[in-house]
Amino acid sequence: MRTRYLIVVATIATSGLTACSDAAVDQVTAPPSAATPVQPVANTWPSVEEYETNEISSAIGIQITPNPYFSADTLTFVVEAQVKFQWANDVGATIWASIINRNGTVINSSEAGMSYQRFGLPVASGDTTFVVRVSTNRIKCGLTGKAAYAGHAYTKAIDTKLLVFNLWEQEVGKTNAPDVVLPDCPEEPETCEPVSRVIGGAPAALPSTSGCDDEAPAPPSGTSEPVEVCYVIWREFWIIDLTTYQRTLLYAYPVGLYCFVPEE
Amino acid sequence: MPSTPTAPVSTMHRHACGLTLAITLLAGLSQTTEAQQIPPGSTRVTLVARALAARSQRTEVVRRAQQTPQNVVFVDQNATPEDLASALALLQALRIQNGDQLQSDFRAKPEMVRMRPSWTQSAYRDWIIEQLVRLRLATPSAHGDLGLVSAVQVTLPAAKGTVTARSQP
Repeated sequence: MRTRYLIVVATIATSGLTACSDAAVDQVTAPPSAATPVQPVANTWPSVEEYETNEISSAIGIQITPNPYFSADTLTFVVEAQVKFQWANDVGATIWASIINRNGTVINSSEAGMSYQRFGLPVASGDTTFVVRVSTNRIKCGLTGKAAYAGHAYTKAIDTKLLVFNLWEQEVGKTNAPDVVLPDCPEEPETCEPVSRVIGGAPAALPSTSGCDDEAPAPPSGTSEPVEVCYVIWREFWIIDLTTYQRTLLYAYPVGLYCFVPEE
Repeated sequence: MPSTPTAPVSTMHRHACGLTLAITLLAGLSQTTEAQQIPPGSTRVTLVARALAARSQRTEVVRRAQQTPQNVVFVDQNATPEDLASALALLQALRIQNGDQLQSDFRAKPEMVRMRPSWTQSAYRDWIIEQLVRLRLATPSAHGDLGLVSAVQVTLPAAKGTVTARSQP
């Protein structure tokens, strides 16, 4: 009886061992590995430790070089700004442009900005150029173009407490660029009438103070005045009171009768 | 610069628009009959709307030596295209006689006017009418010593023609 009991135990143990061994498992194909979801790039700044590990330079820098000019047709004032930066992963710049006339009145103005952010370690250097254009409102002379610029460069990092702070930074405060001046407008015609006149034997020409009518049409070209006119010229003698400028006609007599015949 | 007239005086008289007093010189005028040495070029003329005193007078030409505008034509509201055309012709004649460098002031108005046969169909007449319309539509504004008046400017071409003395006193 005792022997029989041992056999039963041994059989059970053997079965158990067999069941648990590899020999008991059929060859099966492993299921395809599930696509591992890509870990999204964290929109965050590099950690302080990364800076230390990669020995990032602290030589941060930013330079803004404006180039203001009027376009060739003088209808637009253009300000190009080149931004160069070093060891920064957060860069921003703004340029302002305005046009003033002789009286200092702003004719038109505009501004433009750029922003550069890199959620990673800063690169050694980078540069970009951006432009702002301002219309002269079709005024083509006598204007002054003014420009100013400002910018900043930061080296941003995140610490273990997930607080972002500026590791390094450099700012360019708002700085005026050199003015650009358009040539003066052509001078107004000295007079809308004969250009020069001499009075009292003085050789100098009289400047005119009359306003000019922009619209002073001329007769149709090629036409002559189909008018003949005769007139009498009288000579008059006046007494002028210099204290009151009152004039009194003494007498007048005809100098002669003249007739004008225009050229055919 | 007297030259042979192209129209007889009698013809001029037949077509005369009216006989009135003519030219007034505000100051001494010794060189009125002298020929102009330098042919006057184009010039601007200011047309000024103004009621003229004499009923028969609808235009008046004023040339001023020391004031601007230098060439002024006063135009009555009843002025016709013929009136304005004759005034401008008179102004051209004065320019030929005295040039544009004046030493005296002039006031003048046409004495006798004859329109050539081409007048009624001429582009010049249409242009004259346009200027009268411009003048009547002009907004009064300050024009120097002329005060607040309705005025427009026109450009007269170079004066070309002949001025002939018909009689001397």
